Amino acid sequence: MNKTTKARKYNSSKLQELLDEVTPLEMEQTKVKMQLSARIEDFMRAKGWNKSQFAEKVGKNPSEITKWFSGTQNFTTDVLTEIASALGVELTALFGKKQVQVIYRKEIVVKSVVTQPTIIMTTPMSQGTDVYSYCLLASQGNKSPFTKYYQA
Amino acid sequence: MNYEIVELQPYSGSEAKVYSLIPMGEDETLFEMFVDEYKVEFKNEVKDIIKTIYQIGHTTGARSSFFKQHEGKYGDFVCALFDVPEKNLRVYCIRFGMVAVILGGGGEKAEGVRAWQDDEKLSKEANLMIEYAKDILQRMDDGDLYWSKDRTELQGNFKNYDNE
Repeated sequence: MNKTTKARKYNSSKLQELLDEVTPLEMEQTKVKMQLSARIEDFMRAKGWNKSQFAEKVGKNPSEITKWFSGTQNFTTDVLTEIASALGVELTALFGKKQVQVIYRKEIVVKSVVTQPTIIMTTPMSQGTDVYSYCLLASQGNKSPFTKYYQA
Repeated sequence: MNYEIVELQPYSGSEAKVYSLIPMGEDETLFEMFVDEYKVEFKNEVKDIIKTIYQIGHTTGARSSFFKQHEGKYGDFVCALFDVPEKNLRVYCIRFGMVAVILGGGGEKAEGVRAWQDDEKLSKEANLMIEYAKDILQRMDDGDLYWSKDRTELQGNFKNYDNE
């Protein structure tokens, strides 16, 4: 049954009341913290490091790195300078806008021996994406069950 | 299970859709019930959660690092928001990659409680979310709920009532 309907948009006065109490500055502070942690994680992944490897580079426990990436961390400039140094980037790069980083671009020409049309694919691969989401969202395209990994 | 999935405004945004669940017979979402329960005792933390969810919807998407993964059964996408030691509250949710999150309820993770299994209230909320996740995934398998063509939002039948 594929009814094309969207979820009902739901406004809550209770939630709105609380949101109204949040000042623009507070909201901006949260945004900066979350973006900063996302940028650091993206840079770490671009280096090909996992959390343990990154922790080793900055001399911290992996649990500290988990906290850094939680989006709740209020970094000091000293720690940020340390992080930027370990990642080999300028401190200001950590505050830059999210960019899709092309790590590999190659035109691939696939020619078949039978008389099929030539397929040309260009592959801009981006960093900072969530592989988990692709696996999940691919389930629908593959017609494989969403519950296939679920263990009751 | 009888419930409706609704899209929470204004939290839902271009980076991630934010949903919650209204159990049949209730007039508010599980997430509102959670907020109501803790907004006096942990007002600042509840506000932090609200700000975070807003930014997930509008700026960052539901990055896995913002959640404690695998809080439910393997493969059911149940996770907890804000599982860092100095925070008292946990919100259980179902995270579908970067693009969507279904918020449930939660509770206080008191000092000394290592896992939700150690606390009655957290166990109740986490188990409830696990049950919802199981049902929602089954409905996705059945084609009752499915992803939009651009894979950014859920579509289908959002009211899971036995009599409808």
